[in-house]
Amino acid sequence: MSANDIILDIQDLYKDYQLPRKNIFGKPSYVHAVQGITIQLERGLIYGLVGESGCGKTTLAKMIAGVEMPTRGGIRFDAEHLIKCDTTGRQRENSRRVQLILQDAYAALPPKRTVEQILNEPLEIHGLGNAAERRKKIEATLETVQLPLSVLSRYHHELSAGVTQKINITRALLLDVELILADESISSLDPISRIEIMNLFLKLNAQHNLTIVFIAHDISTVQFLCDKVIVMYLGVCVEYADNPEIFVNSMHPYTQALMNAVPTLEKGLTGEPLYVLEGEVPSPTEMLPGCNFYSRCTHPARDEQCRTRKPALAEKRSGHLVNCFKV
Amino acid sequence: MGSQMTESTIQSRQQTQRPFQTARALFRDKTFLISALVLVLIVLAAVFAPLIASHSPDQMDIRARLTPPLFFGQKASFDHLFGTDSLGRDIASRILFGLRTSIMIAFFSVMIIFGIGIFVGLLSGIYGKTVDTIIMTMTDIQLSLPLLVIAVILLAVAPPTILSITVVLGISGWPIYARATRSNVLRETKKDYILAARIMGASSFWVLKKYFLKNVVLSTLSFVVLEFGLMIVWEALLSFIGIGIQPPNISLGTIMGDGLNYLINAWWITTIPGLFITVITISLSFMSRSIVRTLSV
Ligand SMILES: Nc1ncnc2c1ncn2[C@@H]1O[C@H](COP(=O)(O)OP(=O)(O)OP(=O)(O)O)[C@@H](O)[C@H]1O
Ligand code: SF4
Ligand SMILES: [Mg+2]
Repeated sequence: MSANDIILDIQDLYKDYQLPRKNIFGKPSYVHAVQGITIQLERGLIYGLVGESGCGKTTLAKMIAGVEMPTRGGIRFDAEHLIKCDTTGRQRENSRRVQLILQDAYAALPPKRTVEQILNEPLEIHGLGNAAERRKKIEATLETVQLPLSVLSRYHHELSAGVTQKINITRALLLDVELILADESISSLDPISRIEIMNLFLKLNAQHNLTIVFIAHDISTVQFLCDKVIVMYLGVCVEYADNPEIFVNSMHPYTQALMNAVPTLEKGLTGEPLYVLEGEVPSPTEMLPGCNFYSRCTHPARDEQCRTRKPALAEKRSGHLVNCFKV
Repeated sequence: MGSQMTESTIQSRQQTQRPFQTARALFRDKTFLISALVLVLIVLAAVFAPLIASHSPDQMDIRARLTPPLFFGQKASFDHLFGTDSLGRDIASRILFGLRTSIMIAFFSVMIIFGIGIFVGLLSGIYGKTVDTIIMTMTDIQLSLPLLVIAVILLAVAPPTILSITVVLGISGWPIYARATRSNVLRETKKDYILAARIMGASSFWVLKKYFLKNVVLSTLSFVVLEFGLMIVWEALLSFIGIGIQPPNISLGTIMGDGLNYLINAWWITTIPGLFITVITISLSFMSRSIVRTLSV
C-alpha cells in the first residue's frame, strides 16, 4: 500500500466529554467516548464502522468532520494535518473535503425551507458560483442522486424519509468532497429506499472514486456494501479487516459475539465455539486499566494481563488487525 | 427546459409572497385593522400638530383659565374643545404637541430596547461561555432593580432631556429581551440542522443571520408593540411625578402633571391626556394579540 493511497490517517485519537459538575466545587467527570484510535483509510474504498450503541462511532465521525475537537491525537487528510488539537477556524477548508451525514436526516435539514433553499446553502456558505451556476450545479447533482427537479419547490416537511436522506446526501455532494461519512443513513428507511440508498453509495464510490465511511449497528448492510470493516467497542477499535475476511475469520472475541447475533450458514457447519454477549457495556465515564472488553469477554485464555494492561491493534494476519492479547 | 422555467418562477413567487400574505392576513383581522387605524390617526395628528392645532400650545389666556371641555358646563366653548388648564392654555393643542414628544420617546426607547436586547441575546446565545456569563450577570443585576429605581437614579445624574429619558427607558428595558432571545437561540443551537450547517463550514455569523435573525425578530414583534404602549405610560409617569420631561417641553405626562393640583375642580387637565394614553395602549394590545394569533397559525 503506497502512502498516496491513504486518504485519512488517524493517530491515537481521544475524546473526553466533560459532564456538568454536581456543584461548583465538585470534581469534573468525563465521558471517555473515544479512547485511543489509530487507523488509516485508503482512498476510494467503502468502509463499514460497526459497534453497539454508545461505543463512540458518531463521536469519531464528528471529529473527522471537524465539528468536535479531539482531546488528544491527530487526524491527517492526504498527509496534511486536518486537526491539531489547538487549531480553530479550519472547519471551512475541512468541509470541502469531508462531509458527515447526520444520524437523524430529518432534523439535519433546516425547518420551513424549500429544498432549493436548503441545497443552495452549502454553495452560499462557500461563495461558490452565481445564482445560475448554483442552479446548474444543483440540477446536475440531483440527477446523480436520481431525484426529479420538481423536488426543489417542495418544503422540508413534505418529503418522505428516503427523499429526505437523499437531500442530505445531495447537500454533501454539492461540495465535491472526497470523503463522506454516513451515520446510520439507512437504518430508519423502508426496505426499498434502503436498497436505493445503498446502490447510490455504490454508484458514487464507483463513478466518483468517493471514499465512504458507512456507520451502522447492522452487520448485514455492512456485509453487502463495504470493502473493509472497522469494529468498535467502548471507544476503541477492536478489529479491522477486509469484508469477507472479517466475517469468515473474525478473530476478536467481541466481533465473534457480534457475528453470532447474525445467523449464517457457515457457523452451523464449522461448529466453532460460540461466543455470546452477556452483561452490560461498562460505563464510559471510567477509564479501564486493561482491555475494554474484559468484563464481557468469554475467551478461554482471558487472564490477569487482560485486566491490567491495554492491548493494541496489531496485524495478526496480512491486512487483518486485531486488538487482543490472546489471538 | 420549459418545465424548469415554470418551476423556478413559481418558486420565486412563493418566496416573495410569504411576508405579504402575513401582512394581508393581519389586516383582514378586524380588531387589528381598527386598532391600527386609530393609531395611525393619532400619529398623523401628532405629525401635523402645527397645522391642526387651534392654538399655540404655550399661548396663555388668563380670562379663559380652567375652562371645562365642550358639553361640561356653561363656560365651555368651541374655542377650547378639551378645555384649558390653570394658565388658560388650550388642552387640545397641548395634547397634539405633547403626543409628538411622547410618541418619539416611546419609539426610540423601544428601538433601543429591542436593538440591544436582540443583539446581546444573539451574541450570548451563539458565542461561548465567557461572553454568556458576563452578559447574563449584567442582566441579572439589572433585572433585580425595578425600572423606577433605575430611572430615578439615572435621571438624578443626567439632566432630564428628551434624549436622556429615551436612553434611560431604553437601557432599563432590554435585559428581559436579551434573556428571551438567548433562551430561544440556545434551544435552537442544540438542534441537528445547526450542527449540519457547521459541518458544511458555516460560521457562527452565517448561522445567526440565516437561521435566527428573522425568527427572533418575528417572535418579538408582538412584544415590540406592547412595549411601545408601556413606554408611553412610563414616560407619562416619570413626567407626571416631575423627573421626566421638563417645561417648556410638553408631553402627555407633563400635561397630566399640570393638572395635579386641580384634580377636583378641573379633572379634565389630567383625565383627557390619560384617556389618550389608554386608547393608545389598548389599541396596541389588541394589535399585539392579533399578531400573536396570525403568526402562530
Ligand atoms: N455532547 C456529549 N456530551 C457528553 N457525552 C456525550 C456527548 N456526545 C456523546 N456522548 C457520550 O459519548 C459516548 C459515545 O457516543 P456516540 O454518540 O459517539 O455513540 P454512537 O456509537 O454513535 O452510538 P449510537 O449507535 O447510539 O449512535 C456515549 O456514551 C454518549 O453518551
Ligand atoms: S485482550 Fe483479553 S479480555 Fe480483551 S478481548 Fe482479548 S482475551 Fe478478551
Ligand atoms: Mg451515533
